[in-house]
Amino acid sequence: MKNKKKDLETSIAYLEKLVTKMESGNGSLEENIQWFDEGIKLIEVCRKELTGSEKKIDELIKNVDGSLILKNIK
Amino acid sequence: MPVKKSYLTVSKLNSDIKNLVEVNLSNLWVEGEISNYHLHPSSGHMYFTLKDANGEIKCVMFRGNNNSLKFIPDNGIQVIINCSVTIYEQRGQIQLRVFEMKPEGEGDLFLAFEKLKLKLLSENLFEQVHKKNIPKYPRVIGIVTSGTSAAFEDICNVINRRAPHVKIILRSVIVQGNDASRTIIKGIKDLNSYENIDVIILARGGGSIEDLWCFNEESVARSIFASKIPVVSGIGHETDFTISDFVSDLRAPTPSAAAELVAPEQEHILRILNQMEEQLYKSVKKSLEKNMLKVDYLDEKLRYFQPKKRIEVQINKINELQKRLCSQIKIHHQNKKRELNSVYKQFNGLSPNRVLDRGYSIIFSNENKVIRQSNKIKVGELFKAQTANGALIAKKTKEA
Repeated sequence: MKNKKKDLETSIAYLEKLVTKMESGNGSLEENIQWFDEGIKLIEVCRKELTGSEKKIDELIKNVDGSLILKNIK
Repeated sequence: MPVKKSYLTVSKLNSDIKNLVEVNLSNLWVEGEISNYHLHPSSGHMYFTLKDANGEIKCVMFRGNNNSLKFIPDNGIQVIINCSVTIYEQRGQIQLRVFEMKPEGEGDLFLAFEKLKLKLLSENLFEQVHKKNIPKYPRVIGIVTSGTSAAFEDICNVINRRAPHVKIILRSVIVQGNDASRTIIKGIKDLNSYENIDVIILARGGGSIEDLWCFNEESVARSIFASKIPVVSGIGHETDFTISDFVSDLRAPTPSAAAELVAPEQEHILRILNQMEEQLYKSVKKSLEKNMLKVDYLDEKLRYFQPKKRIEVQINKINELQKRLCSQIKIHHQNKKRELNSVYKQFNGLSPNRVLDRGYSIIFSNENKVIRQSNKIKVGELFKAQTANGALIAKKTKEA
């Protein structure tokens, strides 16, 4: 995957495209295996993103210099 | 009696009045006090008289219109109604058909609300084309509300339950009073200038129309419209509609409902991922099997046509030919041998030696020429008599 920071929405849309491509049966074996590898890796990334991260609630506040900063509140 | 004229019938007159009145006196805002209030039990329609110090008029509010009322009408209540004048033809009676009704205390705000709604509507601010898509799987949700409110607690609870992976960024604002609109506008702007926020929830718990008023202000509505990030509104209770609701990209009836709409259920996403994983496995397996079948088929074909096999076939053919050739040669050879034997036997029978064996002899001259006549040898000349087992040297002594 070129863009490692793909968000969930893009990832799932991309996965849907991979599945459709594979199910069409038009791809060569090499392509199918490549798509499969890509898909499985991407699914793992998504799963990690969904279950791996700690819950965080921040508040967006103005710093003394006027810039916006996050302050953890929970 | 004058000549017969064509007179109007009563019903025709009533019908004409009805047409005149209904065309010219529609969509009016009228204030007055309710009296003779009656809710028809089976139909659900409301009948009452609207009056002031100097006059009164009959009113009807049908069930389809009165079921969205936010208060219970009663005799003596001052109200503002939105209505059209109509004629009940059978009785030639004028009455008002009421579409909306508000207690008068809310009248001014209500009219301001309607005015702003019409203004923004005419500017197409509520048009569907301006509605941004709400991301299906947001990672970061920005919340514009009071950080100490129950609404914020509710939103956090819903998001934490449904989508623990989603990050929440609060931009705490004042949601009531004179300063409210200014801070709300800043809050929306700040979240827009902060990166990575996928969707904004603009929320406030329930309250009176005055409490919620900041969400009906033009500046707030315009800041929602200007937001680059989609805005979901969750203001007040289910029955509260604010201008902010109309202009936001999605209206939720309450703060919790807004959170429900925005937070994707983690379990659902995981199910989708599992499903897709299964599909990927199935597809790649199918593709592999398909290719394996093809390989098997080609392998079989290849084996059949491979050079070794062809060479074997050729060798067999050659061996066969060789065998046939050899046997042919043998037969030929035997035939020839048999022929030779018979010729040899014949030939042998003709040999002079065979004659000698029978006791004859051959006479050779001195010059070793076969002598066939006796006078070819002169008297006194030596000659050779060849017998079967040797030769004799003899001399001719006389003429016989």
